[in-house]
Amino acid sequence: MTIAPAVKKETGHIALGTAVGVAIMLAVFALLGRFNAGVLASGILGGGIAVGNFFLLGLTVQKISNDGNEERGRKWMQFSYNMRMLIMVVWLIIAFAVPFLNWVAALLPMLLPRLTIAVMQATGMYKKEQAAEAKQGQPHDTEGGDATQ
Amino acid sequence: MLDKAIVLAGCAIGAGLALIAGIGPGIGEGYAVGQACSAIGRQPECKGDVTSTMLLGCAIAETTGIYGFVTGLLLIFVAPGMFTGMLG
Repeated sequence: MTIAPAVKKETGHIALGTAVGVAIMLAVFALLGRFNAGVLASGILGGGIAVGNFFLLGLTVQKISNDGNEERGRKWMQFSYNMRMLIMVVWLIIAFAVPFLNWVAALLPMLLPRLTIAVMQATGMYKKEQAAEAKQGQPHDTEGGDATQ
Repeated sequence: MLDKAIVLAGCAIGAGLALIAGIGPGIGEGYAVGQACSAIGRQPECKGDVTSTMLLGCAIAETTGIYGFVTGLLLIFVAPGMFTGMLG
């Protein structure tokens, strides 16, 4: 299975942003005197699930764009959305139910990918990247890669 | 006793209503993906750009569903204990 450069790049951005966000969250927990092993585990697992969710979304988008069938793509996307939501809900229920885990630290990383995108858009990082790519003369990814291979 | 029952019922109804928010992104993402497929069909050379934009768009749209799920789970797991604790 070949992963498209666009998916790799965006997942890298999201992973970096989520890692920074989780680090800040853990620092806030430490400042408040609430930091313990459960908070650390919840933060790391929550961050991993948030990035994994985005990566699976990327693979789904890649598969659909390679396939090119509108109706099949729509159904596949809805199925993928349901499955990914199910994974997140199961994780959050585990975080609420297991006393060792901290539900706040498990929940907050779920919102970090959106925050990362918002920060990147607000700071104009996407535009800067596009300008740099255009300056280097790199063509945009037209092959995509094939998730079905 | 009746106060607690009303609070619990309110939390359960609220959680159910919050979970309705999960429906919209699924429909919206499916529609966006369908349109992206037809865009790629018209202009195959823009596949990378369309994939990248669609990925970010889907991630943003999905957050609405996550907010709904989180609100619903908070109403189920956290709010009943908090509100019934206030009632004593």
